[in-house]
Formats: sequence, C-alpha cells, structure tokens
Amino acid sequence: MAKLDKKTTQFVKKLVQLSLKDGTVDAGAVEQVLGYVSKAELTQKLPILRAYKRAIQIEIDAGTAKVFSASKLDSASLSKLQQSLEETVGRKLTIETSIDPSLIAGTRVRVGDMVFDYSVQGFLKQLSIN
Amino acid sequence: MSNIIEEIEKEIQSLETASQVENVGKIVAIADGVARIQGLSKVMFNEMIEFPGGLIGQALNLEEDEVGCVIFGDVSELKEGDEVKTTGRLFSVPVGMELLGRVVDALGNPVDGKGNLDAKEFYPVEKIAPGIIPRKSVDQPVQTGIMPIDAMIPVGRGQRELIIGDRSTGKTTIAIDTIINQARINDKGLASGDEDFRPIYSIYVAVGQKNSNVARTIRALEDADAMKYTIIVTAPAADNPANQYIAPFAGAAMGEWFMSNGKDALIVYDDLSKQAVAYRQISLVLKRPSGREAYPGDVFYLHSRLLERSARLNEDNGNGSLTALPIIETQAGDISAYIPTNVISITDGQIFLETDLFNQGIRPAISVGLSVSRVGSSAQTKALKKAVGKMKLELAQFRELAAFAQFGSDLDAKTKAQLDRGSRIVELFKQPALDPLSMEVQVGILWAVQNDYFDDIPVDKVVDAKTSLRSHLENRGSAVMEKILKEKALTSEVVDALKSSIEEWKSTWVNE
Repeated sequence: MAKLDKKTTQFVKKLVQLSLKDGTVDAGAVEQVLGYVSKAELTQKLPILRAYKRAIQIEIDAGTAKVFSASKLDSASLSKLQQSLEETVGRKLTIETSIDPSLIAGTRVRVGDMVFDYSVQGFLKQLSIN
Repeated sequence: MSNIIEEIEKEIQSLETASQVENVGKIVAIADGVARIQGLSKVMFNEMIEFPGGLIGQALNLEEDEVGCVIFGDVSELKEGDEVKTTGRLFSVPVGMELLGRVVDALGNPVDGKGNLDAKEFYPVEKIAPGIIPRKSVDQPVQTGIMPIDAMIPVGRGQRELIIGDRSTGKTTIAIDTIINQARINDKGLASGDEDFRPIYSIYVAVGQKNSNVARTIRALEDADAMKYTIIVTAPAADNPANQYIAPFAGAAMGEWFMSNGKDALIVYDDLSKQAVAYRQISLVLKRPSGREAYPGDVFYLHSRLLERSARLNEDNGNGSLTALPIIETQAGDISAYIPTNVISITDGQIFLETDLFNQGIRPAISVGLSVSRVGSSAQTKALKKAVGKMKLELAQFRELAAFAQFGSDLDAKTKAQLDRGSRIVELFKQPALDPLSMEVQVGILWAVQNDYFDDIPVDKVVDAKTSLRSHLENRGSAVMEKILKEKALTSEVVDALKSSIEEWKSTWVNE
C-alpha cells in the first residue's frame, strides 16, 4: 500500500467532506462524488478511490452502533440505549443489532473503534484478569 | 448542607455506567515484529497494546489513521485482521529483591526454570531520569577489582563508565570481573556486621548475544558464587528486535528499584551497539526517516535517556545509586563511528581496549592514553589515590617513549629510567580474568612499586613478584590490610606497618 502524497491526501479528505450530510455519510452525495471522480481527469484514480473507500468505511463505522446482546432487545430498550449512546459519543448513530448468546446476559456495543461492554462475559473476563 | 452533596453524588452515580470501555483496532499489516493497526483512535504514545494470545506491544508511531506498534515475543501466531486493544498502561517489568539470582527475559519473565518470581512491585520500563534536585555528585567508589582500572580510571557509584573496544578484547570480562568483585566485597561486608556497609547489587543485561555466551557468563557468575547478588536480563540474538530494544530499559527499571529504595546497584549493558542495531531495524520497518549509518534521528536520545537514569541520589532521596557500565563494540578500533561517539559523549568516561595490546599479552588490554574517568577521581579511596601517585602519567609517557626503546644504549639516563619504570608498570597491571584484587592489596602492591621495591626485579619476573607479594599481604600481612581497609587512607602509622610488611616479603624474595 503506497503512501499518497500530501496533496492527494487532502483531495481525498475534501471528497469525504463532500460525501457527508449533517455529519453522516449520505448515499446521494457519495454518488455525486463518484460521478465527479469517474469523469474528472485524475492521474491517481485507483489509489484515490481506495483511500476514499477506506475513509468512508471509517466514517460509516463511526456513525453505526453495532449492538450485540444475549437475547433479542425490545424496541423501547433499544431506543433508550441509542439515546444514551448518542449522548456518550456525541453524534447521531444508526443501530445494528445481532444476537450473541456467549455474552450470557447484557449487551456489548461497538461504535467505530470504541467498545462499550455491559455484558456478564465482559465482567467475568475483567475478574479473571485482576 | 450534606444532602446537597448527596444530591450531587446521586447525579454522578446515575451517569457512571458499569461498563468497560475499550478502544480497539485491527491489524492491517504485520511484518518483522511490527504491526500497523487501524483504529485505536484513543491510543497514547508508548502505551501497552494487547494482542490476541496474550502478546503485548508498544505503540511507537501514532499517525493520522494508523498506529505503528512493535510486538514483544513470538509474532508468528498473529495475522492481518486480528483485533487488538489498548490497556491504558505503560509497559512494566517486575522489580525487587526477589529477582536476585534469577535470569529473566526482556519482559521480566523468568527463563531459568526456577519457577515464578513472586515479585511484589512493577516499574515502567520508560521512566524520566532523576532531575537535578535529588542528585548528588559521585563520591563513593565502585571497586572493580581490576588494578589498572581502580588505580588509573576509577569508577564511582552513580557514574556511567563506557567499556569500548573491538570484538574479543575482553570487554565482557571486565564487566563480569566487576560483578564478581562486588559479590566478594558484599560477602565480606555483610559478614562483618558493619551497619554502614552498603552492598552493590548487579544487573547484567545481555543484548543480541549468543545463548551460549550468556550461559557461559551465568556459569562464571555461579562458579564465583556471585549470582545471589545478580539479576540477568537476556534478549539473545534470536529474539525479536523489539525485545532487544527494550531489554536495557527493563534492566534499568530493575536497577532503579534499588536506587530509589536507598540501595546501590551496578548495571552492565552488554552491548548497546546491538541494541542500536535492533532499534534501527524497528525504525526502518516503521518507515521512520533514517540518518547517518541508516540509524534513525533519535538514536542519540535512545542512549541518552537510558544512561541518564544512572544517578547518585542525595541523602534526602534515600542515598541510593545506579552505576552503569555500558559496552560498545567498535569495528577495527574506529571510535569515531556514529554510535561510539554518541555514547562516549553521553558517559562520564571510557575504558578503551585495544586489539594490539591484547595480542601482545597485555590483559586487560586497556589503552591508557584513550581511557579516562571524568568524575571517578573524586570517588577514589584516598589510600589508593596516594599509592598510585602519577602512575597514569608515567605509563602514558612510557607509551610515548616506547618507540625510542629500540635505540637502546643511545638513550640518556633519565629516559632509560622512565622506560624501566614504565615496562615494570605494564607488567604490574597484567591481571588474569576472574581474579579480582581487593583495594587494600592493590594499595600494598602499588605502594611497593612507587617506593622502588620492584626496581631490582627483572621485568619478566614482575608478574611472579606481584603474585608472591599478593599472597604475602593476604596472609602474613593481613593485619596491615585490615588497617588499610578500615582507615581507607595512608596515615603514617599505616605506612610504617606496610613498609615493614613489604620489607619482610622482599627479604624472602629471590630473583632466580
């Protein structure tokens, strides 16, 4: 993975900024950006698009809360969880849920590169370390 | 009033979640013991990173969207896509008295098969050196037991004295002899029940050496019964470069424990040129810009921050000390290469060993002209200082004149006398390995030479005469020796006793 020069990195950053609407990635805006890139005469199209894809992936991850729970959560507790998560992280989040029985009880939430562990499994792990 | 506090407390409790917050990342590339990690947006510089399988690493490069991280230990199980997490802690190693007599790796894990360490304390490997206020100038000696060093290049507690020379010139031997001598002094001092006696504990850090060499060193220390005062930290040549880079710092942390607990310690880094090479490898893999000899720009800082941690603390701070004997290997005697000049400028003097002298049979092969101790003379025992007199100057002049020696008879009487004295001093300073001399015996021998008792002994008999005088002083002259050890100065009373003892020896000595 060759490193991009400073100018290209800044260009990619600009593209990412253009793809955001109210701080979240917007499908329409991304389409517009892609349309521009495919038409424009750029020397390093492939590395630019690769860097762009990586940056957008990081943006999407940062705006998505992946909730793992031991059993299915009802919508009331989900919305409560979403509200408290948005307060901690400080941005709007979309929620994705999945079920992981190995957690025993409780939930584990992953937002971007932060992991909030409210599960029994996490506590047991913590106990075994100390 | 109190219910207001309770109210606030309640508010805090409602916000405090019982969750475990972690910052995670993903390995995107891993090669040569270095991983590039995506994520870890909250990582701190030098923070310990946890890898799957219980491995740990250290974050060295913090970039905009990636983190460069070295991994300690066996990295063969790790792969791209593995999840890693921050720990919020600095990398630490076990410290304390429990480590004495043990052999540990760069991470502080025992490798000698003698079971767990049971250490109660841990120190971070990277620590800021003591500042100006808690320090004190060097004023107590470290007896190496090697006569030319104790006499001409004395080392004090808290000093950093570099041992530099080509391969196989006896650098490690000097360090090992010093450790063995500390053990002898400790044994004697602790047995005497003297409350003011301060033992010196030793730490030997082996970096990038062959395992067979390390085993030989351990055997030598065990044979001399010196292991009980010694910790060995080993990062052999087969280890990951990250381990070789961190091992001296781990050793320094163990030494610092002694220093900050009011004890004296001696640490040997064997050798720092290999550590610099390991650090260069890590830096190049991390894509840091390279400078002279392809070393990174901060290779000076690597050694200066390590050696700066050796210090002598003042009474208010426990009066402890950490003496460092770093070792540097030169290539073909070139002390003006990058790493040697760096370390020479950091340390408080150097002991330079020369291949030529070694091959001439002058062992330890110390080059008197190029060796110096910048602070040690204020720590040298008064008796030894007086007995040595101007011997270093005489020896240096002899080396100058030695070129003329081949003209033999054409020399004037003064030059001839200088040459005679010089060649005797050279012989006198020859000393076999693993056979340290105590300070008081050194004083006796040097005093005898300075007072012309050796002048009528042929040069090729000087070594025999020295051995004979030594055993005389250690046996029949033990009372005088005790006196010198106690007074640590050549008072007229001591001189009289010493004189009669040496005259007694001289009357029995016959030149065969």
